[in-house]
Amino acid sequence: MRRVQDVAMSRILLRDVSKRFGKVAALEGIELELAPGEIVGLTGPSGAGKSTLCRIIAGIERPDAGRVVADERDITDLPAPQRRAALMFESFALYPHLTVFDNIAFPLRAPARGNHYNAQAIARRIEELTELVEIAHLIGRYPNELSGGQKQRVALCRALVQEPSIYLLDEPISHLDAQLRQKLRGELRRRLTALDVPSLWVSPDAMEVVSVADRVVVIIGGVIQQSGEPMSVYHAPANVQVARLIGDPAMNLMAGRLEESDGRLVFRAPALTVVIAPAVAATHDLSGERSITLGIRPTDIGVDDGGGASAENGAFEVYTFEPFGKYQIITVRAGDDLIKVKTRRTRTYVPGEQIGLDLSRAAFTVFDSESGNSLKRVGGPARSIG
Amino acid sequence: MALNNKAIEPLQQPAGRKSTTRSKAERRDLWYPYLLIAPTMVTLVVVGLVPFIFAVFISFHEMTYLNIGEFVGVDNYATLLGDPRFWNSLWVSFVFVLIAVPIEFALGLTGALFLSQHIKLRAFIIPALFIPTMMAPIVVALVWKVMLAGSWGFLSYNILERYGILSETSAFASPELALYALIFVDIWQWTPFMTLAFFAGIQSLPVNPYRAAVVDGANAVQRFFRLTLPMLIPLFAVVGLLRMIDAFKVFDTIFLLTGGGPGTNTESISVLGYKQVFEFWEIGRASALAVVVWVLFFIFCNVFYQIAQKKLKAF
Repeated sequence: MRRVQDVAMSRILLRDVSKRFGKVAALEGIELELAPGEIVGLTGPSGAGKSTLCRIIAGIERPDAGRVVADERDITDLPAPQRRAALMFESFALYPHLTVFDNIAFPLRAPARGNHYNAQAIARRIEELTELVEIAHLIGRYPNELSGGQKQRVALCRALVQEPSIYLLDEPISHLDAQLRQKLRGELRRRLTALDVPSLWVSPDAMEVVSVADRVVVIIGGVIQQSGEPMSVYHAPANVQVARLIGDPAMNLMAGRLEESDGRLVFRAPALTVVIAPAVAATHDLSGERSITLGIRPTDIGVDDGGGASAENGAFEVYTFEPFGKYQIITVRAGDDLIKVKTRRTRTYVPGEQIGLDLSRAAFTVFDSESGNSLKRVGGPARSIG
Repeated sequence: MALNNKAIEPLQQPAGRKSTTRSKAERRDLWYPYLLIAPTMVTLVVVGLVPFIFAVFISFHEMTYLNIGEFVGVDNYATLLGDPRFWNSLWVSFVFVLIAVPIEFALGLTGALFLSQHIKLRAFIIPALFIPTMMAPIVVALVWKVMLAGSWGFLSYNILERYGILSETSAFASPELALYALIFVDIWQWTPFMTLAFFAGIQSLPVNPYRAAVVDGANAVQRFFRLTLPMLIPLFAVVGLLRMIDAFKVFDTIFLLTGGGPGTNTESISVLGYKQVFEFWEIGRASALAVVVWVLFFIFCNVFYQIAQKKLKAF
């Protein structure tokens, strides 16, 4: 039986939440909404404040300012046991003296959960979950007998076994091998979206978050940089910091100047000259000559094997070459910068080799050099240049 | 603005020196570890193993003062095991351990939990707790001899005599109370040590399981019984074992305060061993006693270790 004071947190709102640790601002002015059945993906580099945000929602950290609201009820000061949040810790936080089974069963046996699971129900839930994450054979082991990836799966089970008001998964699959990660991404998404509670999926791997979440929130330095649908965040990063985070590999960013010559917009960097196509110019607020940062997705760059030079650019020297089977990543040297190219060509490239780059089909993203903000217009090319 | 990774030239490796000294290094690896443990091993053998083997040897011989006489087989052991005084001393030691250690344990844990609550004056209390443990046993004995010395003892006059528990005489001279008075002194001396050991253990517990337990819905009582206690069990086992060994062989305070009396009421196994050598000059029998005590300890420690390792995951 659920206790009266427990909250069913089906819609969570963070209003202007800030948290400092000494002189370091971990979070500043966070506004975030988590809707029932929604998976919100939170990504950012390490130290960005992702875990702190999880802990504030779970109730083990109190914000210095701002409120946490669940279904229009202020729960900022509600003790953690009464929030019924299922938090999977990035550090796993397993109970060292309990077996895998007892670790997973712990939240179901806690008094705040009202003892409404009998032994059979607990065993059934645990069996199903441990089979899903492939640790059913480790059920009797202690945490110190497990590898990092196995511990992570135990921690994941301990969160998923609950019927909470919110799932807070802090790096749920980051330490697993690639195959299991791929399997679990889909499986977990299915499970979480089938439930009527919100989920927060935290990972420094932006592409993981883009692939599982309904909405992606990028947090850097304790501040939300961008929030939106996965594809819009992927295609239109709000600033260079977000651009540097998202993509596999991330966007190439080059500093240079925007110049007008013969009625065309041209981007000039020390080792690269690019003509900005009218279609690109139309989607950006580009006015006059100025310093900009040009973002080019590695997938948008073509390779000219002839080693030939295009009209504007000479040949580039291959710096590293990484074959991944279906695609390959070539890194070329452009002056002091490195440009990454993701190509489907099957040829092997040798470091030191000269190749040409084809930038004619690239959909550039232009950022302001000083602020780092994207100059892309919200809403696309519909607005005319005023 | 550095936007991308810069190209990095690999450093030139310095030309590697040919490893002509490898075989020398390998030879060094063979004796070096033994060299490191040699001082400890030599000391242990000289002051521990050799005297012990000698004690076993003389326990099978008749001793006249310091002269080794004839081989007498197990005679010394037979005499010892047939002596009610030996069994009495064993009983005294057992009672001493079975009363003193659990009380020290419980009080120590309570104190440690109290200290962990971020109380005021902790910076003062913790150093103060070292005092009884740091005091020389003779000082401890003298302090308590005076405190419990009949009509002029501070505690015995104000408490024992006032409530009619004892009159005129020292607690250490009372056949009924002497052993308990000694146990009391031991508790006074060693509880602070237990408190500090447990406090250090509690401080070193990982904080994350507690966070997890709070989120998982465990209340304070559950967190104590299902996290704190189980996670401290390895420490309990080590500290408990050390304290039991120490309490079983207690000698100094008993020797100084009662000398084993009145009669043989407080004559622990160590005190009896001492008397057999230096008062009765029964060195053969005393050696047999030492061997018997050693065997008892050996069995006890092994059983304890096995249980602690298997059931409690300690050590």
